[in-house]
Amino acid sequence: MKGAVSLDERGGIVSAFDMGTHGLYVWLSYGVSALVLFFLVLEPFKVRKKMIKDIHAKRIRMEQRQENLNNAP
Amino acid sequence: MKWTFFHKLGSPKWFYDLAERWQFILLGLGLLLLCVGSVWGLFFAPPDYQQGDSFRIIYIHVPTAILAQSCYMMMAAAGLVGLVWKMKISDMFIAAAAPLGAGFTFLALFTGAVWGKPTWGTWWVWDARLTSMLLLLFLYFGVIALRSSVTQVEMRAKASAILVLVGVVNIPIIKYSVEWWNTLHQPATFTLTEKPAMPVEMWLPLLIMVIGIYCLFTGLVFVRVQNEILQREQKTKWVQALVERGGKSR
Repeated sequence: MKGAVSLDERGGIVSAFDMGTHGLYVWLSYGVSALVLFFLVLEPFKVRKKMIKDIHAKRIRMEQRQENLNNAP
Repeated sequence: MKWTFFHKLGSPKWFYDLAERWQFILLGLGLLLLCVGSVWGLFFAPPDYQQGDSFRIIYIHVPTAILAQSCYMMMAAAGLVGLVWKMKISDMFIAAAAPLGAGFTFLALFTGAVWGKPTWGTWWVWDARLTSMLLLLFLYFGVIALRSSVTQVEMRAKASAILVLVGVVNIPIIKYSVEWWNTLHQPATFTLTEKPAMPVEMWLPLLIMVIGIYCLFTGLVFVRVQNEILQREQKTKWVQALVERGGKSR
């Protein structure tokens, strides 16, 4: 079976990326999908990082407040 | 059969550890399968005899569309469990899955429109399949909007569970729309019971993409449920200890 990767009269593997008149549609679909998937994968990890920082900061604040109360004359 | 696993599942700490063990395996496997399936589908699957190369959009369109509906069914199951057994983790699943479902539904609609242009000659028609899929996107938006507007935790859980369960009626409409109404959309490419009408080198990459996207989705739900747990259980000792370790279970 002849796949899309083949040597044809136009020459070389370049033809694999050139999907004829439909190339734009195919690459648009794959491009936008890759962008959305990357966003969906990276976003929760970014949120996690910020969340851990915030919870940690909140705890430090609470501890300091407690300490101030204890040291109050 | 012991029902202890059911109680464990309701424990945020137990689930956090489980998600920690599985998330990177699932995400890694999912991304790997998606890469393999895409390269195979783009460069090695033979072009369609009628549609030429534009049919290659199927390798994104079908998996995202299947997942968009499975994600909703999962949310509905979580909503039911939340309403009946009042498990707090079930609401976290709804919170975690809704944005993912919206993302995948958007991709299914977008790739469908881009595929429709060269194949049907139009980006969009108001036919049953497309309209019910658009409704699914709005249902996801509705759940997200509802959650951001209700701040009281129990009320928010209850309201979103009910909204998700009411919206479930849309899922069979999406599935059978191509049979009940005259539509431009073609019938299902895959069914569980019949041999696909495509040659193996066309459907195998599609199967790989479907499995890959399920793995990716499950991994992402795990990560996002973990975030929900961190947020809601931040006052507990084990989360405080966890934060000291930078979010690692141990």
